[in-house]
Amino acid sequence: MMAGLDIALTAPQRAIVQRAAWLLGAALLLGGALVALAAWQHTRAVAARDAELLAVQQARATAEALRALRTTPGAREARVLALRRAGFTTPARRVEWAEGVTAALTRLRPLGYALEVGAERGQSLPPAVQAWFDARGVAPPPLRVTELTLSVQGLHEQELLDVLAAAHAAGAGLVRLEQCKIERRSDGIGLDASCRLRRFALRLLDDTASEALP
Amino acid sequence: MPRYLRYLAANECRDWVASDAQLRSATLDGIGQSLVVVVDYADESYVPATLPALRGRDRRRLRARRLEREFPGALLTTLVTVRARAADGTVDAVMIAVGGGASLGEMLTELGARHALRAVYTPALLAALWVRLAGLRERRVLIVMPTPAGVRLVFVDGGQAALSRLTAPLAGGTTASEIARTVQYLQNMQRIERGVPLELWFWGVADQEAAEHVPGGDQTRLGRAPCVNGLPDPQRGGFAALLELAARRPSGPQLAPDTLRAGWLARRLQRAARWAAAAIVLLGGCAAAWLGWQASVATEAALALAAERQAYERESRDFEASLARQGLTPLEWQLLPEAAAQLQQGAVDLADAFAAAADGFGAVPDLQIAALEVRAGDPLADVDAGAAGAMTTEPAASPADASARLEADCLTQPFSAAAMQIDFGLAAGLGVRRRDAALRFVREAASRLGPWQGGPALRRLGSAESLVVAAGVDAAGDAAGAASQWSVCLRRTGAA
Repeated sequence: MMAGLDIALTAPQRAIVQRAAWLLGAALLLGGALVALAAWQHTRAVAARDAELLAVQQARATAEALRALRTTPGAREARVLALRRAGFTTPARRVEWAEGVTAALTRLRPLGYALEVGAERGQSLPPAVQAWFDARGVAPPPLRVTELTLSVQGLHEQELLDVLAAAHAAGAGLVRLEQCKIERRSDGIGLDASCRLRRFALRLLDDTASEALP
Repeated sequence: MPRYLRYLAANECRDWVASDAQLRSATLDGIGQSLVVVVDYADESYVPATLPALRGRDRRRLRARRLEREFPGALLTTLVTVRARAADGTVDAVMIAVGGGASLGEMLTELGARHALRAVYTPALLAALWVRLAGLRERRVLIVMPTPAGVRLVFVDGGQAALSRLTAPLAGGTTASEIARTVQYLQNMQRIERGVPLELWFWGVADQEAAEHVPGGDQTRLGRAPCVNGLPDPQRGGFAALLELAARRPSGPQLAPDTLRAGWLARRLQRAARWAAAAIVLLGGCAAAWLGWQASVATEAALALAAERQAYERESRDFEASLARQGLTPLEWQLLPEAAAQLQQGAVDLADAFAAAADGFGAVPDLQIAALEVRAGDPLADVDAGAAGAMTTEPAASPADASARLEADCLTQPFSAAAMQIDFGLAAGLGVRRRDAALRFVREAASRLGPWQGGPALRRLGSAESLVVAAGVDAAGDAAGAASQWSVCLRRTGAA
């Protein structure tokens, strides 16, 4: 202000103006520092609250999901344990699978047969299962698929069903019949069948999904 | 901080200090004192002027330029507005200057350098200030007031000092003639109307004595300044009352330029800076307190949420521990049954397919199933679009053609439902009636196949075809063979 008025100040007057400027500057700094510190604390507190809110929502969702599943604990435990025991979470034992089917075929003595157990390969999850993981932001476990193709000639219907039952049992997991074509033989001796089975396994134990769960 | 007052006249200098309720004589010493100066010199100049009504910086510049032109080089000048003329956009003003010589300028410069010189007044400016503070702005009055330098005649118009003269001390006849001369001058200058008596206020003069100095004739009349609460009474106190007013309530037009008032301006800046600093710190403190309160609210909410989260986590941990005791993981617990059910969707049971084929086709000896093919629904398919619409049952021109077309329609599309294709034919040599009965059996059996369903074409099986009766070995054999092979497609409804 004084400079704007082009006034020559004496030393004491200049000192007064300087003190005023220092005072104002110090007040600005102090006020700014107070507000900045408080704003920083506020930001941190709000961020912590928001993070906690997110965490509690996830924890609540997990707990409620578990709580909902616990409504019939006995049946569910039995089902889970049965699936584990059946091998739903373990790799395919291709040799045992092939031997099991071969043993059944040998016992039934068809006119001829051929079977092939393919290599285990990855497969995308069913949409609903994939959505379960997507909703939780968790990496899904790999779904492994092993395919068995069987061609057999000269078996009757029940014998064919027995062979397929043996294939289900020897697969040691979730095995399902994907396709099967049965034709009546022209010579009248039973049926010819070409079937394809798939074994599914969720490899939960050798991935990080279970660790990532809350 | 005490406020000092210095009275300066041609041959007199007195100091006062305003403390508590009274003004007392004092010696101005030290430096940096708050100071008001009253100059009482004979050579005061009052020049009336008419100026355009301006505002802001233009107004300041115009006034400074007019003062500089009217009083070149003068140190103590000011310009006061007497009244505004709204009709022509001008104002009546009076330009005021006090000479006092170089010694006055040097003295004031030194005072301005050593002290916080707030204002320089004349007795006339103080008298006008009093009139304004008393709310008598509309009065035209000639004030007669003895001062240490003599008798001051002050014409106040519109609450501003429009004329001031310093005359000799009160003396019988002399003062009255000076008053008469002043009134005559004002009439000549058309500052007052002739024939209208001008009110005279004698300040600091006893009423009886004042009456002696009133000039004869009807040009003037004696009046009294009212007594105003909160203001010194100059009617009784005279010039001392104005000095007290100057010390206690300095305001309004004054004569000192900003160069002389630098000390006071610096002090005012300092005070403003203190208030601003206090306001900034206060506002900052309030803002910080509010933010801190908000932060504490957020922290409390976070703590409550954390407690809630810990409760949920504890519940989950307890449950996981119970699962771990059974050798299970939470993921297995949550996922395996549903995942297995999803993967089992669309699965097909061959025994079930055999049973359906037996019920629908094998129960009549005249029907012979040549082939049966089942295909499970694809658990990875998201859409089951057109599953029912694609069901096809058509008489085949030849089994190979039918098989090719139905392969595409029935078994190859990625539906989530299981499908079954049955190729069947009729026994050779059937008569028309047995042949129709066999096909009717299939049509009726289509509604009894349990979860397996055929389309509308299956329910019209045989009814949309020509009924052919042929004689002769070649003709009959060809016709029967061509019309006796069918492929039907069945789809499984509901979950597998």
